[in-house]
Amino acid sequence: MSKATAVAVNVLVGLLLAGPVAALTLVVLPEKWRSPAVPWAVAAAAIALVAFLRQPKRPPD
Amino acid sequence: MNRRSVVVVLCLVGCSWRPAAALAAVADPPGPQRSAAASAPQGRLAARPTPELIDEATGAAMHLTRLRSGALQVDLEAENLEVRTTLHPNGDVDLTLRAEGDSCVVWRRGEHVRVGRNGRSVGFGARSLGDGELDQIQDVLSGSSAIRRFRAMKSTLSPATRRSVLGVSVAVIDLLIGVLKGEPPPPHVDAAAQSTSARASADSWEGGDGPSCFESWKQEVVGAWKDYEECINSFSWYNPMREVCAFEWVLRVESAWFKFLGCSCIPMKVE
Repeated sequence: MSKATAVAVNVLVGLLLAGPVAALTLVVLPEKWRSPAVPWAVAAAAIALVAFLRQPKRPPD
Repeated sequence: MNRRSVVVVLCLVGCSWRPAAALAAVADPPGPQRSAAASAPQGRLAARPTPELIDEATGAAMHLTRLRSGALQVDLEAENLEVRTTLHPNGDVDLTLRAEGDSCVVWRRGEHVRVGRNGRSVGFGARSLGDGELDQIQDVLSGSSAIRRFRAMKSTLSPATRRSVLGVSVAVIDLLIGVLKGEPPPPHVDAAAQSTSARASADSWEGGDGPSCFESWKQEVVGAWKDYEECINSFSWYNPMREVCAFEWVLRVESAWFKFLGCSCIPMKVE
């Protein structure tokens, strides 16, 4: 799998997971903290998490 | 058939199908969205057609009803102004504007159109509107306080109302009146109507006059959560139908999420 494909997969899976997570976050957060930055932050975190979990494992030395 | 005749026919047809689409959506809303609309009334009403609407700017009350005959009726009541449009299933249209003793009537039966005001009327064919008929129509309609009030009210409608289906119906009526009064039809009418429809169906976006993408998403998410709570509370703890509630919630929030992403990132699509 090329690097571009891997990045695209990470982004797509991250966005897919970010939907329910962002929705739950919004519901849990108090009203004053519900800003447009919340869903984007959740999306970024989800993509980063997916990228972290999907990174190839290095063989043990 | 000259250009004015084409515009008159288009107006009458436009009067027919826009509220028809609205009532169809109102009469048969998607199942999972019914309770959301009840619990979060502002959630999707900006985007969905609504049978009742009160304009914030003018205070005009608009109402859409379906008659026993299958006809659709749009009623508008504003200060010293009453407008009623009845759209019959066969495409016939009745339009009445009343204000302070002034009453204007436009009705279409098949290919025949009649325009009247305070006892005077002019009839003509919808496909054969000529200058002679236009002169007579303008003679009949000139000085109408009902039309003047209607157009003044229409020009001050709030942007949110203009984007609603009832608002578009008002715009179509205004266009029809404009054509009957001999005003040149604006060349961007079709594009504007399509743009309005696209906006209404795809929600508004950041920078628009309606709720932002985030507000729409937030209201949808909060409404979905309330529905989810109601759903799981309606079943016992051991009932597997609770999983269906969760599945429905996931589908709704995913749908709202990708709608939010599309609204935020691809504004040219909805514009």
